[in-house]
Amino acid sequence: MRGALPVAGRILRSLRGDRRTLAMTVLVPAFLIWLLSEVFPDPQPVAPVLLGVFVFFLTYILTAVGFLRERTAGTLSRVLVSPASRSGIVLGYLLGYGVLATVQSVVLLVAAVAFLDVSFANGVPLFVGVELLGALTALGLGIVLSLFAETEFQAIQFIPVAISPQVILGGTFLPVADLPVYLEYPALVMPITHLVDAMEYVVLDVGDAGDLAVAVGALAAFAAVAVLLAAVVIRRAR
Amino acid sequence: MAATRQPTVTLEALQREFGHVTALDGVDLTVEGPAIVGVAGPNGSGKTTLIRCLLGLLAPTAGAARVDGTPGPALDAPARARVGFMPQATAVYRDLTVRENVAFFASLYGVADRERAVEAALSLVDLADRADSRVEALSGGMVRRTSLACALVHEPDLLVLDEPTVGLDPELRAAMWAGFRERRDRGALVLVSTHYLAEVSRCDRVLFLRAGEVLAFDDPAAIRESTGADDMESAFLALLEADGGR
Repeated sequence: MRGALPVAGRILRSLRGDRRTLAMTVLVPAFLIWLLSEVFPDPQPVAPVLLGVFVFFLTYILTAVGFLRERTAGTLSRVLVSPASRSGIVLGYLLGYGVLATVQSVVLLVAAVAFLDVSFANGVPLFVGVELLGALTALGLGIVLSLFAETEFQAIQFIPVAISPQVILGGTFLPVADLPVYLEYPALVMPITHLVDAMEYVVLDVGDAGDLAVAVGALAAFAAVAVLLAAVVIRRAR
Repeated sequence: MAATRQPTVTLEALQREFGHVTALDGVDLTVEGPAIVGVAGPNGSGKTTLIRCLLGLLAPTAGAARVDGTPGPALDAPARARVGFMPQATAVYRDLTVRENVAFFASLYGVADRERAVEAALSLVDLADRADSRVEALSGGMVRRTSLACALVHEPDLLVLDEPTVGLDPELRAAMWAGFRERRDRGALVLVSTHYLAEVSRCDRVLFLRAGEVLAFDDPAAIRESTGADDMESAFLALLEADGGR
């Protein structure tokens, strides 16, 4: 895991000077939650979806664009030539953007309590844990998909392809069980489906501890696969 | 830090294709440090591909590129710690300061006395007075010098520089070459690619490439003598002509 701490430190130092990204991380989610509080008269039922999808979405964008910049600026080549290991580089990304995802989770938590008057039926620590698992999956996905993009615009173009179908099918508008069977099974292999499932238990106490275990297990498996895939495909980065 | 042992670079029938395009076509080369070796040729002659194969960033289609006897992709962490690399692209973090960039690479390479090493690298590239400026606020020449400082902060035994002087004014180029000579005199093997053919007369040995093939590999004086040319640009043209002007 050589190189993880320097890479994580570098990411956080870069963010410190990037006010636009910091605003996107901290202020924008709080603002959007406030906007939603103005639109929904009873926001509690939609809170699990909002809280789950926001961090997933923003973590994907930050990681995909951040990693793409590393590739196109030539700094990734340089880091790959250094003694840092491939897994160390990915772990550095996890730690660096993990700190950012944690900050974002806390911002969402405070905004949800303040503007949506949301209560967490199964506790705040569980909420933060599920949020971070979702962020971890988005982070691995961001690294992997960014390798197939040559420009930041192309990395953003993956959103309607890779993220939007998950939001549409993942229990956001309709329970997954109510989907036609040819959509139900694809929905079950999408991380956001399990993220929303877990959030519904955490926030609304929908289902039981067994359902949570299945959702968290699936999410952990997605996160592990995404991160391992990122560590493997980083060798392809040029 | 003096070099622990003589660094070597070996290319054996190195070939690399990109689809139907052959970027390198059977390049053979053996160099042993300390020396400054120029890899010269026009744009598209295969210089960057050669460097990327050597460092393990690209897999050869055939043949091998070795550092100290080990193929690029198989270099372990201690072997990679002996190598410094300055890519052709800017390759520094624009939202960090000069010092933060150099310190980041020092920490990646596990430099023991990091503060001293960073200050020494900044002095060498004459950027000590701009150390706390963010890179995005610097001129192009200063950015290139920051990139060079990142490549040599760990005092590598093998320094690989891809077009380090492109876009720099003559005074700055001369200063950079003085820095390369300083590294060579301390035991390093310095591999410098350039398409400024006149520049390679500053090297100890020159590898002339054209369309992925070796036109010549010798010291500049010997190349000038064998071609009867007064300068390296004329020598390159004479070599092209002798090669059939392909």
